Amino acid sequence: MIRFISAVFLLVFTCRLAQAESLSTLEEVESQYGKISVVQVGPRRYMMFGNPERGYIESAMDVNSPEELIVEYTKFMSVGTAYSSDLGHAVMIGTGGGRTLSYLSRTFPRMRFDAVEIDCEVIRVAKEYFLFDTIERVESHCIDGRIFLSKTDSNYDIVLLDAYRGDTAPFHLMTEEFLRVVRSRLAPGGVLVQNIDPTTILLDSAVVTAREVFDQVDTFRAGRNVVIVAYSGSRVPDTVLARRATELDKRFSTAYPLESLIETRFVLRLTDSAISLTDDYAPVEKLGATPRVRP
Amino acid sequence: MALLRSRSHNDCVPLEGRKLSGPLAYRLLAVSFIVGWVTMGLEMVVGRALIPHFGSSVYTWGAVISVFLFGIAFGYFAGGYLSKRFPERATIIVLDVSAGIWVLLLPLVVSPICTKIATDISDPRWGAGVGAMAMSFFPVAALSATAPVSVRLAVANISTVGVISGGLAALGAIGSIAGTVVTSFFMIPAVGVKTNFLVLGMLSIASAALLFTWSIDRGELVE
Repeated sequence: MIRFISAVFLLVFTCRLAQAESLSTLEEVESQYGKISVVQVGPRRYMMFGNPERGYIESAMDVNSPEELIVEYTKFMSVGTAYSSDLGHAVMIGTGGGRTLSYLSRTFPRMRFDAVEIDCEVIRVAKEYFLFDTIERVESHCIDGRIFLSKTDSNYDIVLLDAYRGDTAPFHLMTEEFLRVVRSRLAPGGVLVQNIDPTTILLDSAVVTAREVFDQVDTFRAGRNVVIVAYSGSRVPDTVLARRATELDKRFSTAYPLESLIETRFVLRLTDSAISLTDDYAPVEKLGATPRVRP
Repeated sequence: MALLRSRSHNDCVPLEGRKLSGPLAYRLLAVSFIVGWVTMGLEMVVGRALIPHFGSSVYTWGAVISVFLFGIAFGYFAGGYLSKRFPERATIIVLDVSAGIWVLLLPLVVSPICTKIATDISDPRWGAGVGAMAMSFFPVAALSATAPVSVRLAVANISTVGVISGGLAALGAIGSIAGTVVTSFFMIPAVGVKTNFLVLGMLSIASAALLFTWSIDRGELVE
């Protein structure tokens, strides 16, 4: 019923892959949480949930240039680095094929990562077909993200949250209580970076909920998605953010310069009816079925 | 046959040629329906309440379903003995009211209990099982124990045992369907877990009230 995994939304890729040419299915496996398929169209390899004909693409990689981030929003998952006071330890909840982690690991060579994924099969498939095991300084954990964060002793500079499966989000990773667990695991100056589908009013609720727990919630237009950065303290001004981004770009030779990524920061106008989500009441399915205008 | 009416024992022994009176049958069928509703509604809500503490893995749902079936099995078994020892309307009332009160109290204790269990038991499978057990075994067993008692009360004739127990079981299953659909499709999206517990607890007590208004005078059991 409720499942989570790093996902690219349906709307990101509405293409029906089966209709494309030269599609080959590399693997189809039934995990505890549903069907996982790996298909390849030309040089592009996709991890999908559901049947290949009409499933959701959860991860994409070009086998000829695996370092490239094909899915636009995954580049924006790196904006947290411009906020965080340190770049030592990060955790990703919902790893999918691990493309985001792969980029971060290559770009920031001092950073260590915990990759948390509920579905062990996803980790195996990511290792076999998406070069997950070539990512350095990463430790994978096959466990529910909330349970992992509740039990870990680690403190993180960045918590990356991308726990969708298809177009649904697990409610227990969207609530105030969960975000308090996240906040408690952040090192001083640490940030939460979360990928959100901006086509439904679940976006508004996610932002309202984050504002209940964090002092600041910044929003970025990230391709067809919205990426939020939540942190404590006062709002980081544009000039400061730009300066930090430029420094990092110079120091780490970022393939996707933070300087241009942060330019998409915008002020989200919230739907009036947006409610904060709690463990008691988090109607994510209902909110996720109510469309909104893409910001 | 009329002479047999003046029995002195306290037991509504089924007598040849006697039939179940309308009002009792309908009320027991209604109770069976509500019990099915509350049981399955509770299963959905308990699962929802456990997920934040034990994760949304298949283990959590597996643990919840197993605990519910264990509660149902124990309830049927114990209810059978209760029906022999206390073949009274009051038995069903007590069972439904105590299950209802238990469920009404759940909103107060769910979070502290689950937090404690999640801290003490590191394996989320066992944690979810113990959490589900602590929250729902008693009310589920109590609700299920009403089923054999209902059969005992409703049956007035050995030849109608099958018809009556079949009818009660069918209404219980239909109630379960309704409880599942209404709770998961409408109630959980509409209101919080705590409110859902309150609604189910009150429903359980309401089913007892159905019987409470009915005079149990044995005379009504016979034509």
